[in-house]
Formats: sequence, C-alpha cells, structure tokens
Amino acid sequence: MSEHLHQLAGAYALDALPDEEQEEFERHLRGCESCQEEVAGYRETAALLGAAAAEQAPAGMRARVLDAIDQTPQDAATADRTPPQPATSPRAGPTPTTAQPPAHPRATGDGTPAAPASLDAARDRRRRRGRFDLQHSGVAAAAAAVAVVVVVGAGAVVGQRLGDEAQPGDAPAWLDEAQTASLSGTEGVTARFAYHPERDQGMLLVEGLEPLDPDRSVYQLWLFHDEEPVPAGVFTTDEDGTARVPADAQVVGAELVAVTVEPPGGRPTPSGEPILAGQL
Amino acid sequence: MLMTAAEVRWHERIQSCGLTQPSDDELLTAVAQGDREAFATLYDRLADGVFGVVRRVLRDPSLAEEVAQEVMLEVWRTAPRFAPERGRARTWVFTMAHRRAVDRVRSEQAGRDRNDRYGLADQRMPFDVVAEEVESRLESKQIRAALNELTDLQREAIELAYYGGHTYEEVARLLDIPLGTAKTRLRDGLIRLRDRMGVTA
Repeated sequence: MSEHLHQLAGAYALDALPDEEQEEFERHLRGCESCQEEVAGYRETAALLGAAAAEQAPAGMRARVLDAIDQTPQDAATADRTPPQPATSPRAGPTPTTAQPPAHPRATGDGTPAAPASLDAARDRRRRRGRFDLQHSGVAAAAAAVAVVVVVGAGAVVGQRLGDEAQPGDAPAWLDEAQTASLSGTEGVTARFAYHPERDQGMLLVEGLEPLDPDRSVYQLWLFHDEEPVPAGVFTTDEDGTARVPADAQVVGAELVAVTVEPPGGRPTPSGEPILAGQL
Repeated sequence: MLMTAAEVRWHERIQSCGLTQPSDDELLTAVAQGDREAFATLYDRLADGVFGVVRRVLRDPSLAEEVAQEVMLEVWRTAPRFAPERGRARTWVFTMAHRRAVDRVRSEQAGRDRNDRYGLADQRMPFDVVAEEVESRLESKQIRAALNELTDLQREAIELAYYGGHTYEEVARLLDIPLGTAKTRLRDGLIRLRDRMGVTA
C-alpha cells in the first residue's frame, strides 16, 4: 500500500494526480518524511520547469495587483507553513468606503482609577511636545480600566475574517497562550491586543471599525516603548469592520498599544491623537 | 510620501548588508511583514514566470491573466506562511501558480476531453513562445537542456503532465501506455531533471 503511494510522489509534485488520489497522497505525506523530502526536490525541479516558460505579463496587470494588495489583508503566520491550497473561487476584496472621521473620545470626569506614574509622566511629556494628549481625552481613562483576559481558544477571540477565509487553523498557535489587553476610545469598536508573555509576538484584533479608503488614509498601530510610540503596522478593516493585524514592532516591554488614522503608508510618528488605546 | 517603518527598516537592512539586491527569500519574508515595496520588487521578478506557466496550462491569455493576478494576490496574502527553511521562495510561488492553473483548467474544462482541443504537439514547450524581450536566465537554459537530455518518452510525459496540466491517467491515455508506465516515466524523468539541475532538497 505504501509502496503504491510512494510511486505517486512524482505525479503529485507535477500536480498530475486526480483529486481523490491527491487527497490520499497528501494525507500520507503528512506522516512520511522521506516522501516530504522527495516531493520537496521534485517541487523545486518543477518550479524550474515553470520558470522556463516565462512570458511577458500583460502591462496592466502590475497596477491592478499593486492596487489590490491595499485591499487584501494578510494571513497570520502559522506554525504549519505549507503552500496553501488554492481557493476554489476567487476572493472578492472589500469595497472601499469613504473615510468617516472616527468618533472622538469624550473627556471623562471623575471616578476613573488613577493611572500609573509612568503614564502620567508620558502625558506630561507629550503635552509639551503637542502630540498625544492622553490626559484630556477619554482614552487615558479608558486605557487605565483594562481587562486582561487569558485567551482560552483562538476561535473565541479572533473575529470572523473575510468570506471563506475563516478557519481556526489560520490563527497563530501562540494565540492559545496569549494575554489580551482591551483597547477603547471609539464607540462601537471592539479591539483587543493579544500578546504572548514570552515570545515577541502581538496581534491587534478589531471589530466594528469602519474601513477606510486606502487612497486617503489608513489605520496605524503603535506600541509604546519608554513612552515613545513605535510604528507597528498599517492596516484597514474589511467591509464588516474586522481586522487582524500582526504587530510589526517589538512587543516585549511595550507599555501601551494605540491606533491612529494616518495618510496612506503610515508615518514614522503619529500625526494626532489615538482613536483607540490600551494598556499592556 | 513618507515610508512606512517596515520600508525604512528594509532599506537600512539592505544598506548595512552591503548587498545590492535582496534574495527572493528575503523579499518574501519582508512581504510577510506587510512590506509593499518588497512585494513590488518580487512582483517584477516573478510576474513573467507566473504568467508564463499559467498561460502554458490555461492557453487562453485573458483567463491566464486573471489566474496569474489571483496567484500574485495569494502570494501577498499568504506570505506570512512562507518558511524559508522549508524551501525557496521561488519554488513556493511557482508551486502555487501551477496548482492554481491546473485546478482552474480542470474546472473550466470539466466533462470535456481536453485532447479534442489541443493536439499533443501543443503541449511541448515551444521555444518561440517565450518573448524575446524576456531575459532568459541561466537556469531556464539549463532546464531546457536537461529536458532535452531525457528520453523522448520521459520528456513527453513530463510536458503533458506539467505544461499540459494532465493527470497521469490522461498522460497514459494520450501516450497509449499503461498507468504504471506513466507514473514511472514521470518519476524517473523528474529524478533525472532534479539531479541534472543539482537540486538538493
């Protein structure tokens, strides 16, 4: 039986197996290291066959692809990194909507718990520099009242993704052991920053955040280190307002996480007050 | 326009290494971090290859363009899943391109005998199809030479399977050989190509 399956390795690597045999071989492949090595060598060889057939791509294709990636969120990194199966139907990108100015947080009154000293110092410094004015926005108060939740299962935290993309397997494995911090500052938006206590990994999970027109503005994620905002990635949300944004900056040691609205491509420093913020 | 932090870091890394050109693997790793400029560079390197292989399988140029675009978007979307220790970025992309093209050609022509439309001769890799403006890389020359070193039977089987998108059963039927022979020729041919090209995966 397994002798028969080994014989299929070449055809498999050339994508020359009919569907049922392909599935059977892939099941076998998961547990057979020698077949994996053999197939890897054939795949690399087949890729050379592919490259040899190169033909000038149509002129308009480049612009269309580069435009489309602005509307296309990226998957999270997975523990099991294999070339994904092609989807049976092309995925439609989100429809761009006109940018709505995000609701500004109301300044809160008393009754809010005192923020830690470092945050006070940060606020003072920032007031002098004229950037984030956390004390006079409701965001600081909201950030101080943080719920730290241990994520039990990745599915419970991660919002629904675009169309047919929602698969538990897509969430990174470390989410199972992650802590989360809530972000707040904009009504109707649920936002959490999941981060692993030891690994330098973090991910913003947001729902109910209005998608932006990427030609005009993007959301930008920031992580604060020593009270300095460090850019951690730009994103937009899909049409139901969700996004999963891996943090593209050091997470370990960060005190605060925040989201601002910035021009396309983002900025090295924030241009104004955050629409969402949370304390780590 | 100000560069994103990722773009700034990317450029710093390039300069500090003293490299003039990042490898495909490095580009794809940067793409996985959301680096759009790295993606544009990778696109410029691979788009002709992706379009070419997709077109060979699908034949129809506008369908090929549609699928090639899907492939490049999938590269962007799934780049975080790329693991350089598991194989080359180029292999990853071409694997994706070929699988998507084959899936598409089979669903487009389900129920029809594809041999009715295209004769065996069309499945061979025509050297004249490759546009002269496309730089022919050393590897491409080598693989063509390696293909020519196969037996006619092995080469035909591989071309029908890879460029034609046929299953090994269809290859057996088209070449009028037993199923086992078709499997063996595909595997033996691949082994010879692999060894000839010095692939050590």
